Amino acid sequence: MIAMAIFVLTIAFTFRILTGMFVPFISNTDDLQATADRISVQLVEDSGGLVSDGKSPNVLLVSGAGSITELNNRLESDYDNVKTELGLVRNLGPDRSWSNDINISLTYFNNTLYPDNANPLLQGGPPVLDYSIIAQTKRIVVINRNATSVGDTLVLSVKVW
Amino acid sequence: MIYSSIKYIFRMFDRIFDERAQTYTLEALAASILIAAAILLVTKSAPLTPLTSSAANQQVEAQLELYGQDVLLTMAYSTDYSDDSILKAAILQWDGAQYSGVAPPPIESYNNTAMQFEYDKAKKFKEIMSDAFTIQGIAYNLEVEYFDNTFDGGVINQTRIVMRPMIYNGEASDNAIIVTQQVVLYDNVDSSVTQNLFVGDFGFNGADPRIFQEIPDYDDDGASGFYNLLNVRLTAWKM
Repeated sequence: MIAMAIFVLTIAFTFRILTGMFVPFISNTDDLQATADRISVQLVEDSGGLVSDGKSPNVLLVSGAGSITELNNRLESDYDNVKTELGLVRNLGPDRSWSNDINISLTYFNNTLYPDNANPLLQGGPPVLDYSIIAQTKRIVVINRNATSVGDTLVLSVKVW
Repeated sequence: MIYSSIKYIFRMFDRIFDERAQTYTLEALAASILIAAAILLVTKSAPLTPLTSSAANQQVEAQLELYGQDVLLTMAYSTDYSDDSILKAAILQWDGAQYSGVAPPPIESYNNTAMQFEYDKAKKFKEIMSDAFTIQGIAYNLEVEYFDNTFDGGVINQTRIVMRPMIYNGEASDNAIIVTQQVVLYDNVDSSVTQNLFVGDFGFNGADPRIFQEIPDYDDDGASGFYNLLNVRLTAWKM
């Protein structure tokens, strides 16, 4: 009887562990993923986003109005309004709203942040929570800070949770 | 007779209170749990292998497609400095042969600063392909499609579209994505203009870029400035 109990418990335990091992591969972020994709398109392809001349998608503006620097500063000081502009806030009735959080960063392909003097050029929004479901969209973008170079090819990550 | 019937009844009691029956029941329970667990595990793990088609894979494919298109698009962008994009510079310095691995090597030597930028771009092309795909565990093939015309008295007789692999890393999986980007090549009319700076500068027989020996002119006699239209096709899949 005791042996059987141990046997059954072992099976139950093994099954739990086995399915747990595969959890990272099972995605429950379909709706969030759509949001992350949409925001990345807004930033990278729309002329109202970070696109430098409004014509070449994926080529981003570094400084000035509608630039990466401005977005980085606004994510710091004006986070709630940025969230509203990006359509992350949902109104649930009078004085009630619910919103997702967003973190946008600009990195090299090896995931180190692209520097601007001592600080990263773009790393905005609250830090990503460890135990939440996060949808991430990565876009490849070009910034050109030096007219005589071929430009920097970087990764723009949009994380929504 | 009486003794034997009593003995029979006792034996029946014996069977009813046999402790082994309980063990059998538990064993049956354990076996059914085992089977249920196995079925659950199989159904749950079905979408896990990278090469099987499934609903979960749609998302992976969509992401990869976006990623591949982004890479081609950013490489086809030319900075203000000169007119050739990274992708175009790499193609102009390609010798037309099929390479496996990252990218064909750029030209060996250059003799002026304008050519150095062309060379830098071809090197950058190699870097980006390596960083964006190879290191991330994504395999890719890169093919170039172009027009190959036959002429009859200087007039185009027949138009064929020819596909030539530039980088070939093997057969693509079922879940591969294909993205394309068009690149226009021009005849080299005036080498003093920066946008045509590759004229005579590529060092191959002192004339055209290397690839001009492999890809023909659309209108043979060079009547127009148009050379050929390339359709660059990138096939990428997760390894």
